Amino acid sequence: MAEAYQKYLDPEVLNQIRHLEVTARNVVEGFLAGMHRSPYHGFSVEFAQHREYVQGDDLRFLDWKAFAKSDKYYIKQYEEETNFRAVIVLDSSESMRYQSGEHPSKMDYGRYMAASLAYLIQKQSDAAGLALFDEKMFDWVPPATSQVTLMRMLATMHDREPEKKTNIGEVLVDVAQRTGRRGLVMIISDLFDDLDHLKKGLEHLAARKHDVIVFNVMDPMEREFSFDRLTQFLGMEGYPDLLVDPRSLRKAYLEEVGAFTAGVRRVCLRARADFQMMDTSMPLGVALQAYLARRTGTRA
Amino acid sequence: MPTWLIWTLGLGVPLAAAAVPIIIHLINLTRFRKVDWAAMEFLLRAYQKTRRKMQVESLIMLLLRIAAVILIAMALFPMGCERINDWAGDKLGLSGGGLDTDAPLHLVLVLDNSASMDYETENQSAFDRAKQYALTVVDSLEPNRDRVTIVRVSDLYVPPGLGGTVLTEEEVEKARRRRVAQLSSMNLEGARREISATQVAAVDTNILAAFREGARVAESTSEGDAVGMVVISDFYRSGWGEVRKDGPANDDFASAANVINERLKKAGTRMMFYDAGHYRPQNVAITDIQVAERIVGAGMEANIYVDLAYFTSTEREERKSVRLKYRVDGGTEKPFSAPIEMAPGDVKQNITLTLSPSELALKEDEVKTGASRNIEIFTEQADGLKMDNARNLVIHVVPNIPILLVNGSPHPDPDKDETFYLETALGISNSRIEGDEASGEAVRITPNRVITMRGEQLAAVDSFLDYRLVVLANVRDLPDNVVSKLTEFVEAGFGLMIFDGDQVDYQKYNSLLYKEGKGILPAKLGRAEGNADKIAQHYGLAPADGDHPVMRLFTEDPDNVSIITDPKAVRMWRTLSLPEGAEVDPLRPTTTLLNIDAPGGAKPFAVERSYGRGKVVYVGTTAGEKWNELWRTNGLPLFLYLEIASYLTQNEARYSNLSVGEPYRRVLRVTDIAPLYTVRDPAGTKTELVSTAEDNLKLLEFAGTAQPGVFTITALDRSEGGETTKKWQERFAVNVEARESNVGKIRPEETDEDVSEDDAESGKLVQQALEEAMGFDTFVFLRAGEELGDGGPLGSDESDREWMWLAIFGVAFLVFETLWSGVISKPED
Repeated sequence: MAEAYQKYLDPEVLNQIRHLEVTARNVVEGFLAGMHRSPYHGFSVEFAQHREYVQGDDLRFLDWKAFAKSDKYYIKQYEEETNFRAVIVLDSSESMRYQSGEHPSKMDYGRYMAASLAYLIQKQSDAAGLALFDEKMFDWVPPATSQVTLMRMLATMHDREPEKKTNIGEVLVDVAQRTGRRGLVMIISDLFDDLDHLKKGLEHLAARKHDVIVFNVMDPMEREFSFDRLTQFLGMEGYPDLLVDPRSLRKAYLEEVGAFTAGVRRVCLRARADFQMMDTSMPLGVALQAYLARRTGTRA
Repeated sequence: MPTWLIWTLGLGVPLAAAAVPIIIHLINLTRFRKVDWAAMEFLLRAYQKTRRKMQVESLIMLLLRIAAVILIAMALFPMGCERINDWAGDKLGLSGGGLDTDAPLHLVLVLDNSASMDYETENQSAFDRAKQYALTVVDSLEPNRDRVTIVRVSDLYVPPGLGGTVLTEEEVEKARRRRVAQLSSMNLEGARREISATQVAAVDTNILAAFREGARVAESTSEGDAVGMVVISDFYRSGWGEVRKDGPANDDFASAANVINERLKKAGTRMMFYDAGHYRPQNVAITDIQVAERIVGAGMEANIYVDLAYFTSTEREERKSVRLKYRVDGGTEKPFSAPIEMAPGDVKQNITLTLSPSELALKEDEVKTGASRNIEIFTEQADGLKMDNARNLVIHVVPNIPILLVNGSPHPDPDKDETFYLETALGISNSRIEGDEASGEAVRITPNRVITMRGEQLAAVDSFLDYRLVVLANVRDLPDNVVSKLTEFVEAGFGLMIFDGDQVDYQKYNSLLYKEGKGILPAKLGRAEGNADKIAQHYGLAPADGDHPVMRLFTEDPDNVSIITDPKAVRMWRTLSLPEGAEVDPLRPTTTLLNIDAPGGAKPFAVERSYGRGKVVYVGTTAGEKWNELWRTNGLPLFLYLEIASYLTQNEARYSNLSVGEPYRRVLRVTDIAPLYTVRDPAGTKTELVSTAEDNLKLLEFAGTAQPGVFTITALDRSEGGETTKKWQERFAVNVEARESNVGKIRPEETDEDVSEDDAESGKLVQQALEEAMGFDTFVFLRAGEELGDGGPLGSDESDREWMWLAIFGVAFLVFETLWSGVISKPED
């Protein structure tokens, strides 16, 4: 019997996105093998040159033949085709727990999305990692190309129940520090945080030359606010409750949401991050397919 | 309905209704759903921005809901808040001065129960409203302190006696004038019962008499007590027209009203008028039916003239297409007119129905006695006032009128014979319907059967009672026994016609028949004037009394007068001296029908007087052409003598077309007198009658004609064994007073022609007309529907529709608002 967390690898979703390529807007290290020549020397298949061994080098790359001839330690360097490292930053704060009607919760939607993207990336022989956060990053799965890493990511997402407030700014700074090489950072969150915090985090990632995609996950009810009767809204993440007739409030609420979304877009634009609104009412496969197609087209 | 209940319901229901939205609102506050909400920051920010606006909107919504529910409650429940205010305020007058007093109140409740109050729309008559209001007023009084006198405006006054026998002409007149029943003051429960039991009386209104009664009661109430007066009526012209400012009874009415008003002022109360009548009525009425023929005999046609009128309150009512029908003795309905187009205010007179001989034919057992035939005329479609949609007319169809023609100067030459022409004229019969050969139905023109005898045969006649009319034409010999029998004959109720001539010994006639004014001859005869020779000068005739029944044929239509006045055809005539001084019988004066244009001025030529139950007409020339050439001119004698003969035998006619309350009277001939008489009214109730005597006349009288319909009089013989057998039977018809059909509202004097239709329909004009008629305006005027509501149990007027629209609007709003707000949806949590 498959582990419960494997449910996030929805075959239908994967089927819809498997032929798409995740491309980076910027030049990244080893994005798709054969497509992007890396400016760096890595540890891949084609030999480039020797250099003298220094302490700390991996002994696996010691050229024993050259040692035998010259009695000196040389390390073999290869002109390898690079792969890229993608980190999926998934928001697990309490607000992600919200769901309306038959739609999945934002958390579940994010989980499916993260799993699908990780699978796709690994299938391309790239490395995918995961960062789960609320007020702070509490789970970190370093990017890797192994199946084990993927399973670990899934298990991590599955075990975590959203319960705390969001502090995305600090988390993104942390992610930037942990991800040494330039790579792809995919943020999956409702972004219900101070825009300044988001701005700060994105700026850190941009400074490290990461390619950033911001998936703003929202429930349709949050976007449309189509409640039709007296409702008590129970505040998440420490906000107070509010008993109100939603019809009277809808216009003002939508204005607030509109302003927030516009603000996020503006912040992303300035940080050269890609922004994509993800509505939980839209089938995940369709949404990802549309986005990736658009992104690929942009690249072309 | 008790006042406390009215108040409880009137205020309670709308208040309870108003509380419903508040309760729903409060319930909703506890019936909300709960939702975990992530985007709380946005929501709180939006709430901060819109909190005040939301509170205002919520309040407005609540108020709208309350208003909608109140609208519905008020529209559907007639005694809503606003209307209760009316009841409580000036309009009702209970607290606004109408009947508001601390002293014991003696309320004079004038209740119009006249025929027009039966006008109804949507199964609710004006009288229904009137009774309901009357009961409400009584309920508002203080039990064990206040009392009520009810004055019914239209009750029939029935003189006391067996069968309501009318004793004198004064009583008859009294019965016609006093259409008011005043019920002595009573406690409230008694008044309530009396009001509930009161019915529409089918009698015309006598407002003046009612106010006089009111004044009398007001003045007789002790000083310590307060007096109040409430008049409940329909204010139609039918009853109120005569007391209006320009009405004939206005002076007396205003006087009575002011007496009452002064008395009311002392108690601080005000006269109240409650208009229970419908506005914008449409009443097509058959206002009259008459028969053209004075007597209808078997085999004759009868021409019925029907008058039709369309009464409305305003000119804006729709036109009507009216079709008339009839039936004889309850037989098959038949139409007799094409659709008659009627505009508001139209009057169509003399719409003619011709009944064929076969429709009036006598049955086998009726051939000897004749029989009554009831002709019912009715409109095909009934309207709001049903009682004038049909009228009855009873015709007594006689088998024939036997006329004895005594020829005092027979001659083989018809031109010289005394009665040849007269016999022909009186007995015209067996004509056929002109232009209708196919029917082949023989039609008689007169009912007469003429039997002629010579003058000398008179002495052999045992009794003249086999005849209905005896004509003496130039008869010389009048033996004593003949004179005696003739006197008996006339006294018994039959007719005598006397023609002069050269055989007449005027002195003998005077002594035998005139008897210094005490005999049957209407005038004292003098010498003959003129010249019997044909070459002599001719003299003309002229009507003396145009209103005499005989002369109406010639005088009612001015063109017909020339039939009398044009021919100058009389050569010789008898001078007549009318009774004077002691000769004059004040009860039966001699009437001159025709004058002759004699030298020296007009002189009486044809005279008439009653004697006993019969009548006698004397004509001062010959029946034939010895003294005149009347027959050769334009046929004057044919019409004139037929009319006289009809007049003298009109007791035979006995068709009657009485109005409700008008007494039935019949002079009994000797042969009609019976030991027992009964009358059966339209409801089937039998009453025994007795004949009365008045100036030696046997009269059969009945004053209980309180309802429209057909009454049947039966004379019964009583055998030695005590069993009764029918001697004769006849019917008479009673119809509602035609003036009750006029359902136009009274208006001020000046506004009849030029008036705003809206004002006419608002009751404003009625109020103004009352002010004008009484000369004061310190009264309360209420219109039905204003206080009881149009959508409610009493409502039916135009303003009801506005309330209904408001109710519909309220319901629509609530439905929409309810669906939109999800008030009726179930809570999720």
